Parts: sequence; structure tokens; C-alpha cells
Amino acid sequence: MNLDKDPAALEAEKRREQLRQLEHDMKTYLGVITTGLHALKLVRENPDDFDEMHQTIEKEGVDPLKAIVAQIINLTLKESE
Amino acid sequence: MRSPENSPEQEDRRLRQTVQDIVALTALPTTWTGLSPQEIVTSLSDALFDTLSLDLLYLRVGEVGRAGVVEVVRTSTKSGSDAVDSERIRDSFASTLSVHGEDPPTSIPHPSGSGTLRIAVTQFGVASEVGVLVIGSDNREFPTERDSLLARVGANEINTVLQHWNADEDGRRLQAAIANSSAEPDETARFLASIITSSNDAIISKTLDGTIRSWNAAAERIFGYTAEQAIGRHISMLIPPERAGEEDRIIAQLRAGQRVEHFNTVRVKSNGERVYVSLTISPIRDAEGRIIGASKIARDITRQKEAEEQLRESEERFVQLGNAISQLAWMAQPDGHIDWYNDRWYEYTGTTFQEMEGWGWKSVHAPEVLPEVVENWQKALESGEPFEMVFPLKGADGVFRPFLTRIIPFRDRDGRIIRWFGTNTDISGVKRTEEELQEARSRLESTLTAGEIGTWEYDTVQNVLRADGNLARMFGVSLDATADSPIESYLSAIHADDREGVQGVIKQAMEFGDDYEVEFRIDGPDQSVRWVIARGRVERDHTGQAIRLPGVVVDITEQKQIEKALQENQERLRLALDSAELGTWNIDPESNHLTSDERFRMIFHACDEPLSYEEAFAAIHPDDRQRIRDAVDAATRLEDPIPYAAEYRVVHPDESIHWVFAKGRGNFEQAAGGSKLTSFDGTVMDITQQRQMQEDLRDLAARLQFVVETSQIGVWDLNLVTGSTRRSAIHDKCFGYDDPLDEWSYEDFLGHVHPEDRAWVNERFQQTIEHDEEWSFECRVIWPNESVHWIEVHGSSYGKADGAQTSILGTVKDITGRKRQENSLRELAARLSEADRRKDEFLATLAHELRNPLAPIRTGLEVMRLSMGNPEMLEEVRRTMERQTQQLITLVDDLLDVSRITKGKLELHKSRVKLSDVVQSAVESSHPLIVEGRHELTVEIPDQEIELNADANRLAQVLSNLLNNSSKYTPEGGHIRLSAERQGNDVNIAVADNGIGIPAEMLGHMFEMLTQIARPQEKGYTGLGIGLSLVKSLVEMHGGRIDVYSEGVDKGSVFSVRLPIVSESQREDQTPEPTELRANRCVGRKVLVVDDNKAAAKTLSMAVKMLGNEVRSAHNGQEGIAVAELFLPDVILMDIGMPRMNGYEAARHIRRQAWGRDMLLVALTGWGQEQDRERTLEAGFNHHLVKPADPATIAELLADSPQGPAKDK
Repeated sequence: MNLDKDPAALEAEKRREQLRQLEHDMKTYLGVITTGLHALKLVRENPDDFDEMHQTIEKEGVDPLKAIVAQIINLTLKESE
Repeated sequence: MRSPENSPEQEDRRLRQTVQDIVALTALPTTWTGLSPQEIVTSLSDALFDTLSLDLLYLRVGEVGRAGVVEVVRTSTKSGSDAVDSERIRDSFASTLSVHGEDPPTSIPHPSGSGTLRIAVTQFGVASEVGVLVIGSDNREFPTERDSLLARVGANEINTVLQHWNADEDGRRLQAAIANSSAEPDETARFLASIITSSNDAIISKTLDGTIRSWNAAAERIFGYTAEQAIGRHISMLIPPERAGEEDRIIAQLRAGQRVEHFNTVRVKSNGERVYVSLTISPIRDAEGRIIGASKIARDITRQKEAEEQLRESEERFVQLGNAISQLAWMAQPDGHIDWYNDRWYEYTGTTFQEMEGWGWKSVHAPEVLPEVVENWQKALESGEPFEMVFPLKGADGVFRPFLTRIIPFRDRDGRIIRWFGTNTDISGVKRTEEELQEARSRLESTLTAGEIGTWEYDTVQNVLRADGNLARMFGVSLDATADSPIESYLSAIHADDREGVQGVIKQAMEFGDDYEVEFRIDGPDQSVRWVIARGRVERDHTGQAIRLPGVVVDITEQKQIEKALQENQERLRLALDSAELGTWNIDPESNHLTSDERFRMIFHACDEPLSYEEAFAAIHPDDRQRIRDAVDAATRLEDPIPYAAEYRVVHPDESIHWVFAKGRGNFEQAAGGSKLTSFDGTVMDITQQRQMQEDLRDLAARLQFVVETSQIGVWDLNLVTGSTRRSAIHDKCFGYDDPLDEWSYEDFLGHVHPEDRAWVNERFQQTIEHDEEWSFECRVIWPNESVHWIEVHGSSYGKADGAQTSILGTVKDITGRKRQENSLRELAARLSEADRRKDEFLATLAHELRNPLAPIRTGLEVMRLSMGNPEMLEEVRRTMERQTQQLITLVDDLLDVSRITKGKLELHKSRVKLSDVVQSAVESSHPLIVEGRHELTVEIPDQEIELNADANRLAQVLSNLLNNSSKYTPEGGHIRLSAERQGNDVNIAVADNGIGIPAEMLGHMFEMLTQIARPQEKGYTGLGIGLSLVKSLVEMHGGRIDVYSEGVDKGSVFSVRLPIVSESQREDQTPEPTELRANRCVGRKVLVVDDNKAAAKTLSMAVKMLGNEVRSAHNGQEGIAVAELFLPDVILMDIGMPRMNGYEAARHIRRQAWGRDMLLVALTGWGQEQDRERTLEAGFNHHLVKPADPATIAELLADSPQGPAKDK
């Protein structure tokens, strides 16, 4: 039996890799938020830096994180059907 | 052999004894001198009584002088002799003796009281009285002539003496009377003289010197000497020289007073001839009793001797004759005492004379007939008549054979029986012949009757028909009815259609032929017809005229019926052969010629061409040929032939192979020298199709058997008629019997069915029988070891061709295992259903939990933008955002941890840790939630330090989870208490709250995955239901245990964790300081941040820079290497998954460079699994941090890193 050619196995492997990438990305974006918030505390005296950091957190952290959460939810709901 | 008594000799002896007794009696008075009358009478009585051997003597003499009546009674001992008896005896005579003029009685009742006594009465005159002498004896021949003579002599003597005694009572006169009585001739002397003179015997007296003194007439006749010639001469003139000693011996005996016994001898006559004489010699005494001479009585026994010789010779001849005859012979004395048997007797019976003598012959007679033989023999003895009788005698071989016994008496001249002579003739041969003849006659009659053969003979001369009963019966003719017209009676019985023909055949035979035979019918009663065959011959006189026609008539009705049946059978056989498609064959053993029909030839070579025996054999398949030869040999051998039945193949000319089945047998007939094979024949049938079907059936059966056995299916067949059941071994195993049972009935089956199932199982069984339905069900059965098993039963009725239901055939299978699996699956399905439900809840919760923190984060960003002027609000918002972010991070981490635990991939990094540090870390971690819930947290740990061998982070995670749990399930403003207490070698850590509590039914499920209890809606947050499961796993990985306690809803809850503590001896180094305590201690490092996510790189660079470090950044591996080579950082914080060159490759490259060999490389990646950590270490990284990395941790790493070129940790 050739597992490589088993569609179910391939699908499972693909799903695992997808989740793994989601985990990675989610943590990356959480890292952006975490370090961003930490940085905010340090740059709050400098409005430009604060604003830049603020946008970075929003655009590069929270928004992608929301998208990933939505993606995770869709994936798990689909799996539960 | 004992010699028979010689009657003449006996007579002679008697005579001589009589003379001697008379002499002695007449000499008796010489002894009476001086005796009284009583004594004289007694003396005489005694002498007579003894001499005559009497049983009774009665002597009475009347009025003898002064003595009066003298009376004497003598009786034998057996008659009794006491006084009373004498009186009674005398009285018995009185009546009979008192009557004068009548004949005296000849018998009286026996004095002993038994039977009668013969008596003789002698009356004599004594003076004026009459004397009576009565003598008696029980001898049948009493009184003999001698008895009477001696009685008269005695009576005369007493009469004479007593007459003188009466005349003169003086004793002297008595003496004179006695003297006169002797000296003068009286009646006695005359009597004696008369005897001597008239005697046929020579009576001679002589003196002691042998001189002859008297010589009677008989002596003259016997010896040839006259009295004158003999008297005065010496007796020796009569004695032959060779017997001279005899006289001397006799004289010597006489002188000595010895008795001279009677003897036979030879004497010499005057002419010199010898004469056989029988001598009786008695002494002669004088008045004083002295022996003065001798008397000699000589009887001429020459003729007797001659007779004896003749008798002896006759007897010898008789004995020789007796031994010469073929019969058994024997002789007996008159009383039946057998004293001789011939040799045949001894040869046949194997006995001896000693065994047979007298009545010993009884031993060779059959017990059942012996009484009759003895009775007949005794009757013959009594009657003296001959008799004959047939009875068996036992031979020496023990076998009884029939003998004809004839017995005849031999009589003497007086007609008295002197001997019995008997013969026994073996008639077993005769008997056998008679029996065989009788049997043959009976057999012939039976045969004729059984064979329904009638015999007849027609006398043509007298026109008389003589027929036996069989013929009459066969023709239905009464023998009486044939008297007038015999032939017509029989002819009329012949069937009308055959009568003329029969008459014609007989007529033709009488005219021209000798023999005839004709079959015809006889009309029987009730319209029945019988077939007969008449055979006979014609006997003619010397002129050729037929005079007699003897013949037989045989009933052949059955033969005719058999012939008809045979024809019908042959026709049926032909039809059967046709319908069965049987070919027939016949082999003549003499010529090996094969006779076959068309079908045989078609079967053997597919055409009707002739087929020889050899060709037929050649058509048999080579592999079968020898087997068939052997079978043929076995069927045709003479001894113990075996019927021929075989299946084999024949090969047709087109080489097609056909299976045939052949049956046959050898036919034998009895011939001289044994049996002989006359033919060998049989049938053959093409069974190719049947064989193929059998093969298919066998193959099907084998496959079915395989399926049944491999499927462990038991098979059963219940006979509804007998109640018995045939089963396979697996059937019995289904009921718990490894060894097959002998018997099994439906009742046995029902008895094994579980009591709760029994009623409906039986009901379905009855329905199966009544409605011919399938019987299929599953039920429980109880094995002998009381264990309960499940079986699956299928049954279906089947019966005979007529549709009668006779059996139920079915299967049974132990499905206990399947039932268990079904139950397990059912339980599993239930669990899966529950798990599925929990999963759905989990997913719903997960969506909520993931979205939840995002809203405050995003809102917080907006608030922060608006709060730039308000540093306090800004900080508050930022903290809130940090909490939400941390909550999101915790959520993701918990999920990943649970996943790792489930997969067994979570590893603890244990070290000695202080409980207080762990508690502090946990409280700090949970502090935001506790603050958010406005709860009051109380921490109580012992003052004395407690150390644990644990993974500090994971243990802090445990306590933090418990604190977070209490925060979530405790209404705002609640009380949470974290306490620790040492208990022996363990520490018991408890987290208690006054929250919503736990329902009792939930307590046992609190640590299961995805378990949640309802919490107030206003709290909104319920969690994923994985925290406590994760806590429990982590506690147990530390060798501890966790328990939960709650008094119920709204009663709060207590979670207690029990962990082993490190003993004093196990303590080593102090726990490292908490990370937070060392944060921000060190700055001024050169740090390179490499991340393809520019935002991540930017925020991290800013955070690191804010700590006082010099920071550069790059966005892929190659760029990172390039920057690093120029920048020569102290620390590189590098992502792994990057385009163009990933972190692993970049790290390996840097480590290969001289400038990068000592740098501190820290992997900062979203991948945090163990294999990810291993790969980063392998690539050359010093540390592996999982995003989002705690800024404090990064600060600590930077602080601990060496300034300048870094060293490996």
C-alpha cells in the first residue's frame, strides 16, 4: 500500500501542516502585539514613535491575528461538520 | 457258575435222613429208664421238635397212672414260648380236638398273631384215653411225608411205653416193657422191616471188623451177590483196590464215635463191574450204647452219575451255545436270582459277574423303564409264565439301545421251575430300519401331498381305476363317487376345452405308444382352474394288448403362474432397463464370449457394433483396468464369491472419458467335484453426469464444511419424530461442552437457555413447527460452569417428499464475543457522542475565546490613540491589552500543551524549586484575572521553605490555572485562598474559593477533557474545558495527585494538589532567581533582529533598543548573515521560517564563520515543539524562544549574554 498516494492521508498531512503554519503565524502576530505593547510603554513619551508603533500593532498584529482566528475557526468548524 | 441242585440226590438225602431219624427215635426209649411220664413225654417232644425243626409241638397224653393228664407244648423262639402263650395255644386247639369223627384241622392262626401255621394232628390211644400229637410249621411244604412218618413213629413209641406204664406203675415193669418192646417184633419192627425190604437202596449191616451181617434185596440187585453169598463175608469184597483205604477210614471213624459224612464212591459188583453208589453209614449200638457195628445204605447212582455227566455236558454245551449266539443271554434261579450271563452280555454292558449277579442287572436299565421291567419280571416269577418285553439296555459306551427281551422258564419232570433262561436281542437296527421305513413312507406321502402329486392306475381289463386321495382331491372327486363310473368322474373334472385332447393323448398312447404326457386344466370350485400335467406309461400283455396304465398327475398351477409371472417380470425388467438406461451383459466363462445389448455397446464404444470381451476390457480406462479385473475375479471365484459392483471409466474412440457403474454376479451350479461357474452377467449404467454431480456436491460439501468450521458455526438436525438431534462438535461447544455429548434433545437445549429468554424462544419454536417458519433468534444460554453466553440460532424445517415435516435443520454460533464488541461499540458510540457534543461545545467556546480578547485589544488601540494626553489612562489601556493578549497566548499554549500531553510529547524540565517561588510566579501570572474579578486573594504558605523536584514553569502553570479557574467561577468580590501545608513527605497545596461550587454529579468528571460547568451568564467567559484536564496531567507527571471537593452549588470549591517534597539530603543548589528579578539588569549589547515579518522585527527591535541595546534588523536569512558579518552583534534574535534562507541555514552559515562562532544565537519562532527545539539546537542556536516571547525573558537573555563575542551556554 502506498500511503503517499492515499488522498485521505495526504489531506490529513496537509491539514496538520496548515494548523502548524496557523500556530506559527498566530504566535508571530501575538508576538507583534506583545512586543508592540511592551514598546508602546517605552515610546509613549514620543508621539511619533508611539503612533508608528500603534499602527504597527494594529496593522501588523491585531488585524492579521483576527484574520488568522477567523481562519482557525472556519477550519475547525469545517472539520466538525 | 453255581451248579443246580440235583433233585434225585436231594431225594436220596432226604430218605437217608428219614431212616436215620427213625432209627434214632426208636432208640430213644432206651434212655427213658427211671423217668416219669412227664419226663418221657417231654423227652420225646424235644426229640421230635428238634428233629423236624418245628415251630409248634403239642403232645397230650390222658390219665397216665397217677400222673393224670400229661401235656407238653413247644414253640419256636419266633412263636414265643412262655406259659401264657402255651395256655393260649392249648386253648386254640381245644375246640377243634374235642370233636370226634371230624377231620382234624390243617392250619391254625399263627401263635405269633401273624398269618397261619400249618399243622398235622396225630391221635393215638393211650389206655382209655386218646393221646394227641400236634406238630406245626410255617414251611409251605409242611407236613412232608417224613414229618408225618416221624410223628407217627414218635406217637407209637410214647403210646407203647405209656400203656405199659399205666398197667404197672412199678418202674421195673416199665423196664420190662421197654425190654419187651425191643426184644419182640412189634409194629415198629414190622415197619422197619417193611422199609428195609421195600427200599430200593442196598441196606447192609456189618460188624466193626467189616463182616457183613445183613444184606437186603436191593443189595442183591445192586452188587450181584445174594444174601447168602454176602452175609458173613468181609465188606472189602465190594471195595475196589484203589479205594481200599476207604473202609479202614470208615471203621476208624465209627470206633472213634465220629460221624461219617455221606459220600459217593465206587464199588465192585460180583461180576467185577464198577457201580457208582451213594453211601450213608451209621453206627449200630448195643443196649449199653456201645458201637458194635455199622449200617450202610448204598444207593445205585450210576444212572444219576450218567445223568449228571450228561447234564454237565449238556450244560457245557448250553454255555457254549449261549456264548455262541449273538444275543445277550442269561440264566436265573427259580427265585429270579441270575447266576449266569453269556459273554455277549459282558461285552455289551462292560460289566462283571460280580456286578451283575442276582439283581445287579438293574444298573444297566434305563431308570424310566426299570420299574416296569422289575414288575413284569416279578409277575413272571410268580406266575411261571414266559414273557417278552422291549426296553433299552445301557452299553459299555453309555448309550442305551433297544433290546427285545425274551424269558422262558425251565421245568423239571414234576413241572417245577428249576431255571429261567433269558435272551436280549439288540433291535436297534431293526428299530432304525422300521423308523427309516416309516419315515420314508411318511416322507413319500408328504412329498406327494406337498407336491400335489396324485397317483393312479387304470386297469383296462377290468375297467377299474385305482386313485389315491391326492388325485381325488386334485380333481375334486370323492373316492366314493368313483365307484360306479370312475373314469367318467375324473374326465368330467377336466376343463371342457382340454378334455378331448387328454382323451386323445391317452387313446393314442394305448394304441401306439408306451409313454404319454399331457398338460391340461381342471375345473375347480368357484370357477377356479388348476393346471396339471399327467405322465404315465402303458403296460401291455404278451399279445401287446394294453392292460394297465399307471401314472401320476402333478399340479403345476403354481409353475404356470410362475411362468406367467416370469414373462411379466421379463417384460418389466426390459422396461426397467430401458427406463434406467441400463445396459446388460453376459459372459460365458467357458468361451469368454460376451453377450451384450445395444445400450451396453453404446456405453462402451458409442456405437452398436459388436463388442468382444477383450475389446470391452480394452475400453476400460488403463488406470481402472486392473481393479476391474480383480473385482471380476472375486465375483467369479468358486469359494466365497463377492458380488460385482464397481465404478470405472471407459474411453470412447473419440477419447472422451465416461464413468460407468457396473453390477453383476457369477452364477454357479453344483457339479461333480464341487460348484461350477455357469455364467457371469449383470448391468452397466453411464453415470458420468452423476459423477460430475457427486464431485460438485462433494466440493460444495467440503467448502460448506470449511466455512462452517472456520466460522465456528455448529450444525444441528432435530428429528421431530424421535426427538433425537444430530450435532457437530462445535454445536456442543456453543453450550459449554468441549467433549461432544452422547444425547441432545430440544428439551436439553431449552434447559440451557437463560430463564429470561426461555419462554419466547420456546414460543418461536412452536411457531416454527406450526407455521413452517424460519427459526432465527439470538438468546442467552447458561453453560455448565454457570457462565452466560450469547448464541445465534437459525433453523428451518424440512421433511420428506410428501411434505411431511420431519426435521429441523439449523446452525448455532457462539456470538458472545460479537455481543461484547457490540456492547463496547455501543458504549464507545455513546462516549463518542458525548465527546462529539463536548467537541461542538469546545469549538463554539474556542471561537468565542479566540475572538473575545481581540475586541478589547482592538478597542484598546483606539482608546490609546485617543488617550495620548493622559498617561495614566494610556497605561491602563495598555495593561488591559496586555492581559487580553496574554489570555489569548495562554489559550493557545494550553491547547498546544494538551495536544502534546495527549501525544505523549510533553517533557518536564525538572529541577529543585522552592514552593514559594512557584506560588509567587503563579500568583503573578493570575494576578490580572484576580484583579479583574475584584477578588480577595489570600496566600498562606509555611515559613519553612519547601523544595520540590519539579518543572517550575509547569508547576506554576498548574497553580495559575487553579487560581484562574477560581477567578472565573467566583462571583466578583469573592475570596480565593491559596494555602500550602506540609504533610509528611508531601506538601498539600489547596486553592479554595467561595464561588459557584460544583454539583455533586459533576465532581467525578471535573478533570475530564472539555468538561465545563455552567457559570453565570454575566461572566461571559466559560473557558475551553481543558484547563483542569491539563492541570491533572501535569500534577501526575510530577508524581502527585489532585482532588476536588465541593459541598455543592454555591458552596464554593477546593482543589488540592499533593506533591512529594525534596528531603534534606536531596537539596542541592538554590533555585535560580526568578527571571523578573533579573530583568533590565544589563544593556548595551549589539543585537541583530532577523524576521521576515517586518512588524515583528520592528516591534522587537524597538523593544530591545528601548532596553539600551544597539539594534540592527534584517528580513531574511541571507540579509541576516550579511548584516551580522558587518555588524558583528553580540546576540542574534532570528526567526526560523523565512524566505530565501531560513533560520536553520542562516544559523549554520553563521556558525561556520569565524566571526559567528561565539555569537549568542536565539531562535525566536512560532514553532515550539520539541523537534523544533532540537532542530534549532542542531543548527547552532543557543536558545529557542517561542513567539510571542516574553519581553522580560528576552531582557534576561540579553543581560546574561556576554558582551563581545558570546560563549556557548
